[in-house]
Amino acid sequence: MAVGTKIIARGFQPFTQLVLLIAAQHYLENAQHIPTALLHQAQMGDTSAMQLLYQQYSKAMFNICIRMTGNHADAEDVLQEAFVQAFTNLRQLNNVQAFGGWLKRIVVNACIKHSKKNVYWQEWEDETHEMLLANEEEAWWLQIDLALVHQQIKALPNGCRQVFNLFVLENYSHKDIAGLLGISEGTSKSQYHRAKQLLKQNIMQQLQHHG
Amino acid sequence: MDKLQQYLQHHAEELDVDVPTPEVWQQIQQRMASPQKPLARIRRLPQVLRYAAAACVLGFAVVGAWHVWQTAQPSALAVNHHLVPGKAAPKPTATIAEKTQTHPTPTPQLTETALAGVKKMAATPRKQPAASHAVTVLQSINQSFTQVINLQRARVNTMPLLAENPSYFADFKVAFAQMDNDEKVIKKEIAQAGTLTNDLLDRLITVYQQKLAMLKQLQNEINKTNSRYKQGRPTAENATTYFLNI
Repeated sequence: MAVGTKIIARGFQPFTQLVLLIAAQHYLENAQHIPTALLHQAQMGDTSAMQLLYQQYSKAMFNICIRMTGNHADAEDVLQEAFVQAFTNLRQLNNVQAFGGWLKRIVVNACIKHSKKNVYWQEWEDETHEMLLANEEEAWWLQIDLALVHQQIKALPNGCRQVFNLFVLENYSHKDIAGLLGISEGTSKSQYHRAKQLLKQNIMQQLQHHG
Repeated sequence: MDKLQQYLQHHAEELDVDVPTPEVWQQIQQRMASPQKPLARIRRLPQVLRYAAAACVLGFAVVGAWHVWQTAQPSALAVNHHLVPGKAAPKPTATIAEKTQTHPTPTPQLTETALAGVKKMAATPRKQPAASHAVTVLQSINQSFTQVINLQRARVNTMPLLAENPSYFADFKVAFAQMDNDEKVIKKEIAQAGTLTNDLLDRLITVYQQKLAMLKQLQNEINKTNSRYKQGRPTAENATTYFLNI
């Protein structure tokens, strides 16, 4: 009986695989079409489509904002501004597949605008950071909970926090950061080094306090 | 890319732990629904209409330029006629000829004899009209420069003198009076000559320019002394203030 079942199962295997493959393809096609259709609807001014897009992207975008601004209220303001800007200019987006990247750019730009308005930049060029960066210490971050890292990034002081986020998480070069924030490249590098040092120091302190 | 950067980028999604409050979406919705910022539907004009609009604008520009050129031309001729006595003779002939062409009358065209007569008239020295032209030009120049000079003069006269009394600037006053005299002399010479030559015109303009330059210099001097005075004192309330009468 068991042998017979195995034989039948083996005979049906290619068929089952084919069915599964078709189902998967259908699912993937739908998965690709849902955002596209949503975007087209949003471009026509459909609020429910906009809401779905917001629900899909707001968390990731909000976390960019909160890491850049350092506090919840400002992050919400920037997020709101960015989404309004994005929805207002949605018709200008020709390639709907690029919506995520396009939205992220709007959000990051809104954060930079906020930073430029609220952060007083002190030119601080320290050449020792090059040397310190070259002698990279051990990977202390590997055992740290990422939620704690996120929390401590938010707690970094103004200036170095923005540089750290733009450099580490948004993958901007120091040259780009300097241009965007209106500071020198050397200041950007120094601020990044300072942020890294502070981040390590604060996380270690937290671990000591709370075990 | 350093190791921390690499590690955090790899775990970027795990860093996203915060969530926005539902009020954010409500506010976005409100802002999107407000009539001030509707989803603007971009209406594009058809290509033909765009070209038509551009052609209209270009047409208006050409007509405007032509009009300006047309209005500027007679005055330029007139200025040439008044200011360059040597070249004054042929101009009236041209003007008459143009007038005859632009206003066709039943009278026959300018014959050889008529043209010769006009030339003769232009060639003969006519003291009275030349003098009247000179007076007109002189008046016009005088009026323009006097307006500017008076403006500058009023500005200087209303400037408070904090540091020095008016006698400190007496030299300027003397120089200004001297320039007034020079101006009168040149005007007298023009009246005697009955015509405005280039030389006299240049001299007159130079006097006006000197007057303006001097007033400007005086203004700078007053400013300089006032600011020097203010630097030493936080407030200038107790200072004795004088005004010039130039």
